[in-house]
Amino acid sequence: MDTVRYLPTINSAADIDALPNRLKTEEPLLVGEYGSLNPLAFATAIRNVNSGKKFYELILRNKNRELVESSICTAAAVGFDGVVIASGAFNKSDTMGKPVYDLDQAQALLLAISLRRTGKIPSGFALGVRSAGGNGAVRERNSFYLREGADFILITGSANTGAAAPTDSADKIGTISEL
Amino acid sequence: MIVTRKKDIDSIREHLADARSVVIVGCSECAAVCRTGGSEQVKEMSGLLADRTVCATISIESPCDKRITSRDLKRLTRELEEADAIVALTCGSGAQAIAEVSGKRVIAALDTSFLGMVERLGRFYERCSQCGECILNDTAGICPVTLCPKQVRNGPCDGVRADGTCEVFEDRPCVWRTIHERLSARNHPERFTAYHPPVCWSHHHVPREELQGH
Ligand code: SF4
Ligand code: SF4
Repeated sequence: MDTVRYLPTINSAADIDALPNRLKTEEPLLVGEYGSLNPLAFATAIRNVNSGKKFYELILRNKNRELVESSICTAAAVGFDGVVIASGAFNKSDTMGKPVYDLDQAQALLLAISLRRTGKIPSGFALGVRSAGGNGAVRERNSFYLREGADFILITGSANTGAAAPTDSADKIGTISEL
Repeated sequence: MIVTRKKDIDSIREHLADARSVVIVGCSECAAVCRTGGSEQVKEMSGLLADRTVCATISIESPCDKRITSRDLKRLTRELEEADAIVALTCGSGAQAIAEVSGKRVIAALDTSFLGMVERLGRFYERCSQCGECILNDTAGICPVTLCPKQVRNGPCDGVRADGTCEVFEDRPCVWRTIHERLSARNHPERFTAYHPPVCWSHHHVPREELQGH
């Protein structure tokens, strides 16, 4: 797994139209949910401007398990090549809403794997997990994700990717590079 | 221990409205330790409501225990008859137990916050958020469900910082790093990735009840 370019926010259709100026047409792209618009609505628009793999960053923040399942199934149905499971940056002060963290990344991964096993999403739909790089606890958890069936792990740019997983899985570790 | 905070006196007065005579009930357990409903605070409330008739004041050992409340309120039968309302310096459970036992209108004088560990008077920590499916035995006795702002049961999350601190609170270590260190020190590193499935909320729909021994 190589570097995946990352568009954390979509705030208007123009953000997609502008993609050809910001990434090479065959580069893999990860689209995040931090903007005001949901990336699930833009799969076709992204395909029209980019031929690389398209991944949907599924943040778990403020979704219960039913919404997580429906988001994964929708991502597959609208033409994403896979999801990257992320916990989602915590809203410390900018909301008075009740924080919802129904599933953690390991639980969401196992849910996604069961959806693939039962044919609710295609067998070729890729399941990735976002991770901080590093050793110790992070490395243990990354090994768990790979053991359980994650196709790849994406590490945020500057982190230590070398130590992030067992050496025999180095090809399953990629990095995220923000656009 | 149940941690409580005092409500604003104006809101208590507003809810008392036309209740001219009151009985004030304190709690000599949790609310006393919190200094929100002990005998001192009952006295203080009595002073704050001096514009009404305070028929009686009482501190009950555990007002949330209906057996004890029922026993203790029997001593105040006459005063309770006279009173238009009861002011409860107790947790929400206590206030409702008092209402159920007495049949009177109860004004809750406290906000109920959390289940707390006591460091000293006035310093309480939340260490258990009562998830109902305890994983302490896998996590070296440290509760990640409460100490992790994202309540991660299989951590760490992708936000943990390179220096091991938490994504959300920069001044605290990620609880999963602490768990990893403690499990490694105790020679049980394999427990670190013991899988904890999502909490089954169908068992925890409120109101929860427990009927033991049947
Ligand atoms: S895991 Fe934590 S929140 Fe759940 S019961 Fe145990 S101590 Fe309480
Ligand atoms: S860094 Fe650790 S403690 Fe902080 S939110 Fe993530 S898993 Fe929880």
